[in-house]
Amino acid sequence: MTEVSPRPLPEGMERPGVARGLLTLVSHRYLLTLLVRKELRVRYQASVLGLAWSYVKPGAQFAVFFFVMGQFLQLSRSIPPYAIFLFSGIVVVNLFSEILGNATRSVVGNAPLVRKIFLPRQLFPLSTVLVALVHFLPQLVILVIGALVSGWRPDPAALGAALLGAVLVIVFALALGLLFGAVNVAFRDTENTVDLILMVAVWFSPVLYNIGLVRDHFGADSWLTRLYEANPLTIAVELFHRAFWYPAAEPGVRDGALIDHVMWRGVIALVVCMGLLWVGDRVFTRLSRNFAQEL
Amino acid sequence: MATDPSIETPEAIVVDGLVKRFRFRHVHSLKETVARWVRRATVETDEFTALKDVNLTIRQGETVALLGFNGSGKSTLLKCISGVLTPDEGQIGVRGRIAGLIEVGAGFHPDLTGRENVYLNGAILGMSEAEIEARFEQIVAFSEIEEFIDQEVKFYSSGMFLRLAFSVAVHTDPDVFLVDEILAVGDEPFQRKCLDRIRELRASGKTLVIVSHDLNMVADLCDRGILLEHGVVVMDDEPHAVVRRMRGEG
Amino acid sequence: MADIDYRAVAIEAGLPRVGARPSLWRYLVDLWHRRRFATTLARYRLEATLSEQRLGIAWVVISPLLQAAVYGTVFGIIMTSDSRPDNFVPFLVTGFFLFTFFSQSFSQGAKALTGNVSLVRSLHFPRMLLPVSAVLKELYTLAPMLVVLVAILIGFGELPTLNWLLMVPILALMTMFNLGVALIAARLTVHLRDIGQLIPIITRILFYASGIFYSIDLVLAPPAHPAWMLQVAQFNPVHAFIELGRGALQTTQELEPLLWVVASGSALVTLVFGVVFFWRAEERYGRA
Repeated sequence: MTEVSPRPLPEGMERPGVARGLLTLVSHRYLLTLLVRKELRVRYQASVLGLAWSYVKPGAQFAVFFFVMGQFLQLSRSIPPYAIFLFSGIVVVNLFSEILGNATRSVVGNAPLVRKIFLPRQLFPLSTVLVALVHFLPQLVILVIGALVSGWRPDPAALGAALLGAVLVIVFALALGLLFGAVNVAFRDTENTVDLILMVAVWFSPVLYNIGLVRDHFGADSWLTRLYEANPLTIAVELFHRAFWYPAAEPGVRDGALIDHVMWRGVIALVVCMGLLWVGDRVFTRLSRNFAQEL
Repeated sequence: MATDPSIETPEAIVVDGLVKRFRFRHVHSLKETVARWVRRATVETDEFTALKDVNLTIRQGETVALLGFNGSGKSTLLKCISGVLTPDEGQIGVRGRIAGLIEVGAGFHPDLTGRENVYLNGAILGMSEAEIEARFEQIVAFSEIEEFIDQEVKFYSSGMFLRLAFSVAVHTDPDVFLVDEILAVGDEPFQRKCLDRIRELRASGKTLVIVSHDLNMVADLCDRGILLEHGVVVMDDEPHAVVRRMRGEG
Repeated sequence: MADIDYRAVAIEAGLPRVGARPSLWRYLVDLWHRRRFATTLARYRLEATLSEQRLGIAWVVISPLLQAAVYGTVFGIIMTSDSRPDNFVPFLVTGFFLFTFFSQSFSQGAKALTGNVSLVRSLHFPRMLLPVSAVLKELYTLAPMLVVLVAILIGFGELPTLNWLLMVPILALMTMFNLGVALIAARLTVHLRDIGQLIPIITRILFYASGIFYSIDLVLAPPAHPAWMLQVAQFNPVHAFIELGRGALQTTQELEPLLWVVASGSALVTLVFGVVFFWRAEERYGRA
């Protein structure tokens, strides 16, 4: 696949189907909103509860974890208010899972369109981000209400941490989603691999337990702990803990309960994930030339 | 060339040394993949060259029929021009906005209403919100399904579905139209209407590239015929002459 | 125009109604005659999913095994050692594989009708064949899992005993139960699409309620929790099948008589109810 063009094209002519990066999607805003609307309509068509399912699902998940982990396995004792700790982590992991899971399937799932009409293919993974945000916002509202009831009083650092955490998790999930979504066209095993990752993601971040457990078990300086702490999802979860749980917790409980220098880690992770997003976009653009014939 | 496009008319489509190959990447089980990898099995056996060095220049305002039997590479060529497929060698240039009517209704979703589908597909085919709104009435009137426009498309008959899809497609107003086998839409009156619409587009100076198995119809409609055989252009002439050759009469 | 009783006319002319629901007995006989359809469909579905992937059949085993490994590790760390059962790895893997059989039958069975609309609309056949073939497919995929399970059991020092033969009736009962659940879920999904959203939630709750990676008996042990909680948990059929499987395969686990009662009772009741429930709406599936 050489890029050498034998002769220059006559002036004013363009090459059809040349894939450009994520940024060109700005000019396709309208189509993007229609795709998001379509996705939501189709997903909840003939459904009685409709969008309310985006409340029910995390609600049930929260209840299960709260009772099984918090009560039966007694994880709640060391980190009150455990409900806020748990739910602020769950919403982050849910946002990550929905973007990554759906973005991975997005190109294959739109095969009829990809095969027949040329569109910037980045539209498909990107629309999954917007759909995920539609599901994320009500959860966030519930989290804020719950936190307020538990005595949460926001400070600027908390709001900054929440914003940083949300942006970080979106960028990270989209970067991986672009990579896996593109690879999934040729290797359908990717879907299964991603499902597996998502299934265990909640356990590899301090959602149900606090990070001290990991440090105690593996040693604060072991490479496993370092790896665990370098995971952008871990950092995003901790940023949400910093935003919603930390201000609501008793001073005696909260000291040392979070990862150190959480804000700085967040900024560094965001920069790294931006780089990853750039790589993901390049790989996706590169592979997208062959999507139509491989589907 | 039968109709002599004046030298001043700029090119609408330039196809320059286009080669398109398909690799049949059968999905193998792990065992097979490993076995092939160990044997360093030749990959070439799985390759098929659909287009071998195609060179074409189509000027603005031309109506061109792409002719050829099944497997000659017509649809592949059309897909390359529309940008769905990327060339393996050579290059393609297009001037202005291009709409590939490769398959009507590709972007339609059965669970959405006719109205929603008009908006979604208009946008997929490159129209802006304002353009769709301005033409909405026209699109619906052309498709003749006014009273069903707010019903879900899955309840449409196949004729209604195709009429609406075609109607959206021919109202997108691009500079270059790629038309693949879509004139077989609906009953005869509607077909006549479609042909009229195509002639209208032609008269307004649009560039059209048409693929169809209805040889008489395309020969009458177009002013240039290009014959493909096994991925090579073998004839480029007045369309009736090309059709005669295809039928073994000339 | 006078109203004509078309129904009476048709009956008089000896024209049966097309697609009418036959009696339950006739229905089951018809089902039995066409059993090949269900087995063939199940086999093709399995081959189709496997051929899309490079690792093919390996996925069937890898996915639950890796999950078991993760849950095992995490819970090994979180749990205090007194709630961890003896010979934890075979305990975990047995539980995980059997639970996967249940949860897949449940979710795939629910999609059996709504996911095959074109087939249902274009051909006439007893619709029950679709959920049956969905459960059959899951039974087929259980086979390689069992092979791996045997290897793991032996690897962790659980040598084959005569008790292993008990797996035959246990799996038969569990298949009956799964089929009953699949039939109920398949019909409900036709009526109410929301069921599709509800299934993962129910599955998740059952996952934690069935004691896959901890022993329900130990976690809900009386002093810490009221006694009724344990009693309620023991009436969960999925828990019963998993515990029976462990009892049959592991010498460190006990086979309690109560479990047999729960397992066979729930299998019979669920299957009979599922068949009748599904059959009663037979005529409505094509219209969905």
